[in-house]
Amino acid sequence: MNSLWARSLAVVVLMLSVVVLSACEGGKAVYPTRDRGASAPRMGDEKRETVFGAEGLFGDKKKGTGGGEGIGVNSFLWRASLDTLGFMPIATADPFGGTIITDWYQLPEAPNERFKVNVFILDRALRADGVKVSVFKQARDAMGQWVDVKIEAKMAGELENSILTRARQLRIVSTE
Amino acid sequence: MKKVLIASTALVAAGLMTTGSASAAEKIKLNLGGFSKWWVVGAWQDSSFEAGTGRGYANVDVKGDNEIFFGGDTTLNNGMKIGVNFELEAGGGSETAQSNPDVIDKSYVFIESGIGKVIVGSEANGAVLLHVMAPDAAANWGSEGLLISGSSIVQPGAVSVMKTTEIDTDDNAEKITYVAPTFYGLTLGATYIPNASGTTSASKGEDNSSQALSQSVYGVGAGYANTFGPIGVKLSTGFVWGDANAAGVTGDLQEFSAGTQLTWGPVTVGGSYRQRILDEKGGLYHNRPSVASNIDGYIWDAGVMYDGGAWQLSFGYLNSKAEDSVTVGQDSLTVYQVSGKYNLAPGVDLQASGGFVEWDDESAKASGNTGDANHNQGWTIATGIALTF
Repeated sequence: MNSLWARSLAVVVLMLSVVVLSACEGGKAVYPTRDRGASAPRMGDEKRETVFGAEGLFGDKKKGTGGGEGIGVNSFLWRASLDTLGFMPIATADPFGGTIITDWYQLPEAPNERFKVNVFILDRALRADGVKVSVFKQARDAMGQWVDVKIEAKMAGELENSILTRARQLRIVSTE
Repeated sequence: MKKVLIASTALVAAGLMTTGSASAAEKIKLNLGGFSKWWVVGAWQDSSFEAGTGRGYANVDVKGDNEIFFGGDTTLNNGMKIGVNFELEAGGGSETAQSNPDVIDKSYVFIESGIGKVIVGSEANGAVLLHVMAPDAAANWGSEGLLISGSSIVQPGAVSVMKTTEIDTDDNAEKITYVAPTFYGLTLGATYIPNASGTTSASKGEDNSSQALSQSVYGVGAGYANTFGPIGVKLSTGFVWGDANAAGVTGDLQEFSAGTQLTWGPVTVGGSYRQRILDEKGGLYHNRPSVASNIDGYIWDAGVMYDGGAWQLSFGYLNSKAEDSVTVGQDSLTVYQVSGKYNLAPGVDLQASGGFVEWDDESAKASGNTGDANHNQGWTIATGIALTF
C-alpha cells in the first residue's frame, strides 16, 4: 500500500473517531441497510413499506420509529406501579408519558383522612431513579372540610421502594 | 485499521456491561419479512451467438427473485439493541437459488447503540451498505438485476466483468463491520474481512472474476445524505483493499467506488463509478507488460428517474470493462435500461424493465465458426409483480 492510501486511510480513521466522539451531541443513531436492487442505502429511520405495514408480518409495531408509538416507559416499572397502586382508584394512567394519577382514597379504618398518589416513570430503563412518587394527604377539619395535611417524607420513598421491588420481581419472573 | 475496528467493537461490547442492569426488557421475538418478485421476460438473443454456442434460446421465460427474512431484536434496559437476521433464498431465477434453492446467504448478529452498530457475520461490507448508484424505478439494478445479471440476454461464458458499482467482491464472506452513527447526514462504515474466500463467491454469479483467494481484506465507506433548499443530495465513496492470492497472481487488490444522487422535486439524477486495480507484487503476470493482469477493470452507471407519486419511471445506462484472461484486451458489458413501477397498495407494485444488453469478450471471433459464442446482444422486456412483506 503506497503512502497515498495510507494517508487517506489515516484521514478516514480520524474522521471516524471524531464522529464516534461527537455522536453524543449531533449524531443520530440510525444505521443503513441495503435492500436487494436498491440504488441507495435505507437508513434505520426509513421503514420498509410492506403488505403487512411498516414492520412486516409479526413485526413489533410498538418499536416503530420511536416517534411516540407504543409504551414510552419501562414496562416493568409501569406494571409494578399499577400493581402497587392497585388498591386505590386510578383517575388517569398514561403509558406514553409514564404518569399514573390516582383518585382520592379513604381507608375504611380512617374515614377522616384521604390520600392521592402521583407516580411518574421517568425512564425506559429499569433503574432506581426511574420512578418518582408524590403522595398527598387531606384530613377533615372541625367544619368537615378537607384540608391539606403534611405527610411524612419517607412515605413517598417507601412507595417508590415497593414499586421497585415489584418491578424486580416481575423482571425475574420474565427471564425464568 | 484492524486495531481500530477491534477497538470500536470492544467499545460497543463494553457498553453492554455498563449502566447497571443490562438485561433485556423483553425476550427476542421472531419477525418475518421478505420480498417476492416474479417476472415474465421476453428476450431476443443475437442469432450469431446462438449459432456460435449451438443452442437456441426461448424468447419467453418466467423469472423470480424471492427471499424470506427471519430476524429479531431486543432492546436491553440500558438502551442497547441486539438482534439477528437471516436471509433465505426462496426460489426464482437467480443462479444461487437454482443450484441451491433454500440457501441462507446472509446471516448475522448486530449490536446497536448510540455509539455505533457492529455487525458480525455474512452481510454486505461497510462500503456497500452506504453505496449510492444510478436510480432505478423497479429496483432492478445491480448485480442481481434481470438485465445486468445475464438472466435475460445470456452472458457468454468467456465474459467476466463487474456487474455493479458496489464493491461486492467479498460477497457474503463472514466479516466484522462497524457503522458510526449518522452525524449531520454523514455516515461512516468500516469492515474487516479475515478471508474473502470463505464462501464460494465465484459460484454465486456475483462478480465472478477470477481472483480466488483474498485474505485480510479491509474496507471503509462513507455516505452522506442531506437536503439543501429544494435539492436532495446523496453521496458515497468506498475503498476496499486486501491481499490477492489467486493462482499465478499475488499482490494488493484495491477497489474504489463513488456515487451520487441528486433529487430536485420529482426528478432524481444519479451515477456511480467503481475501479478495481491489482497492484502485482509477483506471480505469473509480474513484469510481463504484454500480458494483461486478469482483474483490473472499471464500471460506471448513470441514470435519471421521475417520481410521479404512485408511479416511477427511470432510464439507466451501465458500462463495465475488465481484463479477464491472459489475452490482452477487455471484456465489456453495456446496458441501457428503462424501468417503471406502479404502486397498487403498500408493499404491492407492478414493475416493468426493458432495454438493450451487449456482452463482449476480448477474444476475436473464432475463424471457420458460423457464429460468435463470445459475443451476445439483444433486446429484452420484462413485466412483473413485486410484493414486499
